Order: sequence, then C-alpha cells, then structure tokens
Amino acid sequence: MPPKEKILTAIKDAINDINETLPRDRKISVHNDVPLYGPGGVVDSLTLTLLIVAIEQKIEQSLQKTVSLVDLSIISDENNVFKNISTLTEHLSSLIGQNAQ
Amino acid sequence: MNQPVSGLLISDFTIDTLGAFLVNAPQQPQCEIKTGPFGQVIGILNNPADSLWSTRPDFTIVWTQLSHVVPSFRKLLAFEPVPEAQLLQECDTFINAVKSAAGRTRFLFVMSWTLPPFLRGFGPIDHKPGLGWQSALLTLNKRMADQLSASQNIFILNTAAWTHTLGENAFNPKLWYLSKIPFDPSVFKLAAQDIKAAMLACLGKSRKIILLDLDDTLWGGVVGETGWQALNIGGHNPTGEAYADFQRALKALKNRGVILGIISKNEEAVALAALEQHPEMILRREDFAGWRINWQDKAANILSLLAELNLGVDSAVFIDDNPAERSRVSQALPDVLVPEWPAHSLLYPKALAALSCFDTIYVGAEDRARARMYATEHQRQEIRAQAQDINEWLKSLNITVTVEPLSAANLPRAAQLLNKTNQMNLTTRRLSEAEFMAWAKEPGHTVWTFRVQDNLGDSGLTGIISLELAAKTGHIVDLVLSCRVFGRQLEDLMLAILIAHAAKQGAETITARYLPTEKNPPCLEFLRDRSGFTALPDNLFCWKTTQAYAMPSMITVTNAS
Repeated sequence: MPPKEKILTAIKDAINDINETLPRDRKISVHNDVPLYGPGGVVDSLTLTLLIVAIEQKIEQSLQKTVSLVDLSIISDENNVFKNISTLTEHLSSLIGQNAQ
Repeated sequence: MNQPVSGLLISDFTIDTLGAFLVNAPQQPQCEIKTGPFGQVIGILNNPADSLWSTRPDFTIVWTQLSHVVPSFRKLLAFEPVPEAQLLQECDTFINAVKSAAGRTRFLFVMSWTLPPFLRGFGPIDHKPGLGWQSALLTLNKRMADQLSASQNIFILNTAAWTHTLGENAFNPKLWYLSKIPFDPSVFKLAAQDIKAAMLACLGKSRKIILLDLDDTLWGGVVGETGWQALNIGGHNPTGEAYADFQRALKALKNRGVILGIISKNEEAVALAALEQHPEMILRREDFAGWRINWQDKAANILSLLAELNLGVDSAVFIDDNPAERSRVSQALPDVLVPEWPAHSLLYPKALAALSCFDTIYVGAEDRARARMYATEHQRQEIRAQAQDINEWLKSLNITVTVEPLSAANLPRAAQLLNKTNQMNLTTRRLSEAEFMAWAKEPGHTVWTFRVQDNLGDSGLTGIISLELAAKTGHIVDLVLSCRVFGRQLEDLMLAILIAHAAKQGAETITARYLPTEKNPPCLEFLRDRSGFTALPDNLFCWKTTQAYAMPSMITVTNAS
C-alpha cells in the first residue's frame, strides 16, 4: 500500500477508535472533506487531543515512523491542518517525507 | 434492563473519556453520567450539600492518583524519606472522605492506585518497606482495602488489571501533558466494562449457570466415536493439561456458587460414563445440576434445562467450541450470554477466567453450597414423583424453617436474595445492604428472613417477607422466595407468620400490591389462585385478620418471633 494510503487508513482507524467514545450524533465522519476541527468542525479540544495521540500511534504502527502532531502552529486558523482528513493526510505525508530525507 | 443507571465520576484528572465509554458502550446497564469538576475530590466527597449529590447517583466512581491524595507520596517520588505513619495518615484522610460519601450513593467504586511501569524507583530495593515506591503503593492500597472492607456499598476496582492488560501503552505522558489524562483511552474502555460488570453484580444481574458442550469443549475428542478411554484430559500433554485446567476453573466457579449444566449432542449414557469413569476427569456427574444430552436442538435443550432448574435465560452462559452451535443459540436465545470462544483449547482456561459476568459483591454459605442444593433438589423431586400427594411428600421431607428478623448477621445474604430473586418476588424491589437495613429500622417496618432445612439438606436463607404497618393496615412490601424452595408451602408459612404478627399489633387488614415484571407471574398465580387473599383492582390483594392464616402443618418452625 502506498504511504499516502497507509496514512489515510491510519487516520480513519484513529477516528474509528475515538468514535467509540462519542455519542451517535457526535461521531466523526471518515469522509475526506468533512470538517474536523475549526469552523464547522465536530471535534472539540479534548477529542482533538485524543485524536492527535491516536493518529500518532497508528502511524507508528503502520509506517514505523514517529511523527508529532503536538504543535500549536498547525492548529492555528491560518494553518489548520486538522481542517479535514484531506488536509491532515497532506500534512502527515509532508512530515513523513521530510523525516525520510 | 430498560432504565439507565445514573453515575457520578469524581477524579483528580480529566475523566471524561471514562464517562464517554460508560455512556456509549453497548453493554448493559446503560448509563447516564455526571462528572465532578477536575481535581476537587476531597471537597466533593466531604460536602453533602454539593449539587452533584442532589440526585442520589446509583453509582459513584472515585478515581485518584496516589500522589494527589497522599501528598507525602510526592516526597517519596523525590527520594526523600517519609515516615510510613505520615503516608497512612494522609491516606486515612482520603478514606474517611470516601466513607463520608457512601451514604449519598447506592454503590461507590474506588479505583486502586497504580504506578506506570516506567517509574522504576529504586529498582531491586523498591519493595523495601519504608523506602521504595512499590512498597508504599502496596501498603496504601492495602490500607484502603482494609479500611473500606466493612462498608456495605463501597467496592474497590483493580486499576492494575487494566494497565497490565495494555502494558507500556497504558500510561500516556502526551495525554497527561496535553489534557491531564494519565491513561490511554483503552484503559478507560476496560474500566468501563468492569464498572458495568460490577453494577450488574450490584443489581443482582450476575450470571448464575454455565451450560457446557462436552466433545472438544469439556474434554478433547468425541466420546461417541472413541469411547471415554481415548478422551484427551489430564495426562502429560499440552492439550490434556489445558482441558484439565479448564475443568478445574469450572470447578472453582462451582465452589463459589456458579451452577454447571451440560448441553451436548451425544448419547446420554456414553457421555455420563465418561464423567464417571475417566480417571483424569476433574468434573464428575455430581458437579452438574442438570443436563440435556441428546440429539435435539441445543437452544430447545437450554430452555428445557433452565425451566427444570427454575432459572431464567438471562442467567445462563453457553460455552461450545462449535461456532455454528454458538450462532444458533445466540440467534434463538439472545438473552443467553454466548461468549466468543477461542479456536485453540490451550486458550480455554484463559477465556473462562476473563469472563466478567460472574462478578459478585457477596459470597456466602448458600453460594458455596448451591451445587449440592441442586443435587438434593433432584432427590426431592424423585421422592415427589413417588409420593401420593403433596402432603405425603412434604411430611417425608420433614421441613424445618428458622425465622429470624433482619440482622447484621443475615443482611448480606438477605440483600443478595432480595436483589437476585425474580420469579417469586412480589415487588422486585432492589436495595443495597445499607438501604435494606435502613428501611427495616424505620418505625412500623419489620423484615423476617427464613432459613429452610429438610431431611436432604440445608437450603439456607431462601425467603424474605417484610411488613409496613400503619394504623390498622399492614402492607406486605416484599414477599421473596428462592425458586429452589418454592412450592413447598413455605410461601403460606411466610404469610401466616406475617399476618399473625400484624394482627397482634392491631392490624385489621393486610394488603399486598403485586408489581408485575416479565418474570414474576408465579407470585401473581400464588396470590390470586392459592393464597386465599381477596383480589381487588390494580393487582391489590387483601386479607382480613379476623381470620387467621393457616400455618402449614407439615413444616416445623423454630425461632419464630
């Protein structure tokens, strides 16, 4: 599986784990363009924390890469990589690509 | 179980994830959760006026970190010497706060303390008393267990069981620094499962019987094909040893009151011969309360056996190595718990040990003797079949009943009976030990307990009746009789004693209001058809004390008050 697909799968697996803790009407959609965090997003700050840690763990398990999403600059309004799954996937691809160089 | 239970979470860390699992996990009971403000544990516990207690929660969780409730433990973590007395004193402050809150909730669960495995302390000398972190951890957990053991509604849940299951991933420093969550969410998921199991135990919903397949489940091999001599059980091979351990684990459950039954597609005589004659067999024929060994549908056999044993389908667990049989029973009898079962027999003992459905909050003499009681019940029914009428049968049994008021000594068993009895139960009232005793002590209230013995054995404390007396009317609040002794005129004896007492106290009328459930029609049938009470609208039944209620002549009563 290409790295980008693995990243996407890891994100969706993490979301599925987090969804176990959420009521039916607040579950996070795994569609790529549904807003996650920020304007229109369904993820609150506590859930975002759980999601960040879960994604890091899934990436480590599936790609054997250590990444860190704990960075306030990537959650800011101008540069919110958690806007949706697509933006998050791009960010992680870039991170992993940089790490590989 | 339709009504959700209400829970209150009190913690010195962010515990919302536990609340989320309790609310959203599909397992029973469904929960509604309130969470106390972060880090105010002692304050909330010590303040009865706190609004969190305004609606008395069904259960309360108190989950703390040792270094927060025992501040001196932080000094220990800094390798500073701390007198043990100081640690214990601070621990007692927390324990006293927990005790003070116990009356404001039906059940209170305190999580034991644990430390992350990466905190190595002094290493090899870390268990040295007065020095190491692990030593202090053990001492303080023991202190908490000892100090809370006398409380009737406080129970300690084992945090280490969840963190050990998840190993090094159980503790997540990132979550701690980001959100003050010390554990990985998976810890809270396991904790929620155990809290729900504990609540089911508190509510009297523990499973009571394991129904077992035989071939390749209780032993290795197919007895009908090879004969009992070739079955794999015991001996010196991995599979045989695992089957022996599985049987030992089943026997251990039997020893604490779980009933065993057999549901097997086999020739009965062939299968029973294996149980009786194989030299390595741990479980013998007499260990099983009943069996259906034939070629009929297993779901139908389960219903038949449970009916014989007077047990409901929601009290049963069915274990079978065959996925097709498990699927059939799951579909036909959704209230029977059918655990997924490992494909390899070496994992059977572990799978059995991991079941939480037998969790209990009380084990008494009646529980330990339950399997023997079912065996003697077989004998009673055989005598019944030979007797000409019920009086001849009852006379031959020579039944003796000891009647005692509710007391501290019989309270645990009485509360267990009150909470677990479904069929012969007038109102299906569920109360904790503390609630039951508090109710019994109120003016005008009386609770009697009934211990039943006969020629064949001691059935233990198997009946409860309670009276609420006001002016000239006595109201029967509880009429509870174990299905094991139902149908031996004990129900008449209980009414006779209550009515005689109430009449002496000036009551002219005795009433009983039947509250219907899915399972208690036997109580209605008794009141309506056999008790002699007058049926009134709205399931109300009435007796005038101008007429004495006849004491059954075949029962000897002792200690009647």
